[in-house]
Amino acid sequence: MAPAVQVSNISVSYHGETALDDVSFTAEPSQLIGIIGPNGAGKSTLIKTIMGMIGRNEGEVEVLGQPISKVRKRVAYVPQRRSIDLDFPVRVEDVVVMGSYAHLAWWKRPGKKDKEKALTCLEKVGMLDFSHRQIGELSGGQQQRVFIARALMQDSDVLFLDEPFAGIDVASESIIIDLLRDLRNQGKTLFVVHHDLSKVETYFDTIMLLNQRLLGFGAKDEVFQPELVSRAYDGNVAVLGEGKEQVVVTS
Amino acid sequence: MEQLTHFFEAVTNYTFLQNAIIAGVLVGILCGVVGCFIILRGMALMGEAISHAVLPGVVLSYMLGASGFFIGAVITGTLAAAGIGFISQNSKVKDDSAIGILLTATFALGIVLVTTLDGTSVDIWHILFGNVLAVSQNDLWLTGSITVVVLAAVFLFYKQLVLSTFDPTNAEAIGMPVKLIHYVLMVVLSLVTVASLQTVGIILVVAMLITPGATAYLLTERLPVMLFLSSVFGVVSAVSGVYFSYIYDVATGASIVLVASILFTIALFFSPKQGVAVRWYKKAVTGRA
Repeated sequence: MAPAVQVSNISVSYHGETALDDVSFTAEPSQLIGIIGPNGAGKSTLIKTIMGMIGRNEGEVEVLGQPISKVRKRVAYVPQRRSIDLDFPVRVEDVVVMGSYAHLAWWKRPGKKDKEKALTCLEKVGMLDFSHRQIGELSGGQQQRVFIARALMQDSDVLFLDEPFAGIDVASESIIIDLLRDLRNQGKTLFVVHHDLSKVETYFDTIMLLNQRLLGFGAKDEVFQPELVSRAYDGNVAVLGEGKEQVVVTS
Repeated sequence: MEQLTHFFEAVTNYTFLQNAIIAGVLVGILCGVVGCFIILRGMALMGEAISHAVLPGVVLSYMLGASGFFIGAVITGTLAAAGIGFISQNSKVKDDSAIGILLTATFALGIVLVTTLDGTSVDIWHILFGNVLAVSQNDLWLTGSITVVVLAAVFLFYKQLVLSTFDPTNAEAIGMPVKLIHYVLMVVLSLVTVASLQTVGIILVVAMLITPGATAYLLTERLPVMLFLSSVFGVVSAVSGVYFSYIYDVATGASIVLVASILFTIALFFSPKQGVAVRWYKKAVTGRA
């Protein structure tokens, strides 16, 4: 079986400034991977580069053993909530139906089956009762659940989620993490951009530490070490606790 | 009442009034539909710039004796859009300033070109402010064709338009040509300006694009309904504008825009869910209770 994602020596720069520097890794299928790093570490850039949305200076990317342009349908992407127009005149169920667009030919419209499927996806995230609401009327956590339902709609093998836990309520958080674990158990590979270090160990089994360069990638026990995390956060980290060490970002 | 029957009589008798109303209805629908996407994409100022940039293209086409003057219009309109993108990407000048520079520069070029054409058939007043009571059969064909082509494109690419407007990152991720859609919309904006030239003119076309759509935006939370309402408001404004200008002998384009603006004001205050006055009233009632 081909690796879910294979990245070899990619470098990316914007206007002459380095965003990613010689990053390489191979992610096997059926993993829940947390991409961790400070602001400006290139976490979103890494995802967008893998998706072919940002040009790279050098390096190779393969998704499911092929170039991304051949496997887009099998890859779902949940952008940061703030990149989405939440005042848009659209209802929750119509947002979820948009998840079918990846599979539709350019002239085709979603049909009745797609609409029924959208409702089952909404049920999975506990948002069925809100299907007729305008998207902006929901709370941040509820909106995030709707966007995850849209990704479910696509039936993809690889999922990228950009900061799904940012600014959401506890109930939504636990629904989302349960769902992500379910998907992993079904054999899907999930990449989750995350910046809150306190929850890292409970959420993810595999961790990628990034700060322009790849500082660690592997099982959480190996990678989530105070010394490595401190390097990723340029030393702005305090180590608390005795036996089982805890790390906290200080600035 | 008497005026209304007088107007209907005139419409049945005079071809120029029939043409004016047909043109008004077409422009109302066309601008109403395209305008919804312009509003939702935050491109209102871009629409303003492109409509002004159409002027030098129209004048140049007259000078060269080119029959299809919409080709010149589309070329200068699209060039202006590209210029705005070039300035904001290659300098620290921000988008709104880039729009201001190109809007005035292209418009000035158009005015200079017109003044070199002393004593010809080009009437600058009509290009700038429209002259719907002089719409010819040919003008109707042009406006009609543009309306049909643009509406067909919106229908065909509805899915792409919606997703790239609502969530451009996701649209790009599933492989939609987001940049191409953006540039095609610029071309569409130039075409819409050309189609509206006779009805409201270059200066006021942006009102037809934005005002009916914004009115509809205040009244609904579903895009298909917004598109429908926006076209209805566009048509109502156009037809009543023609009526007022005929009865009271005032400028047609400006009358159309005033009607559209009045509809917007009503929606702003009395929209059931978002109206300013409605919210004040609810606050007052719950405050007392």
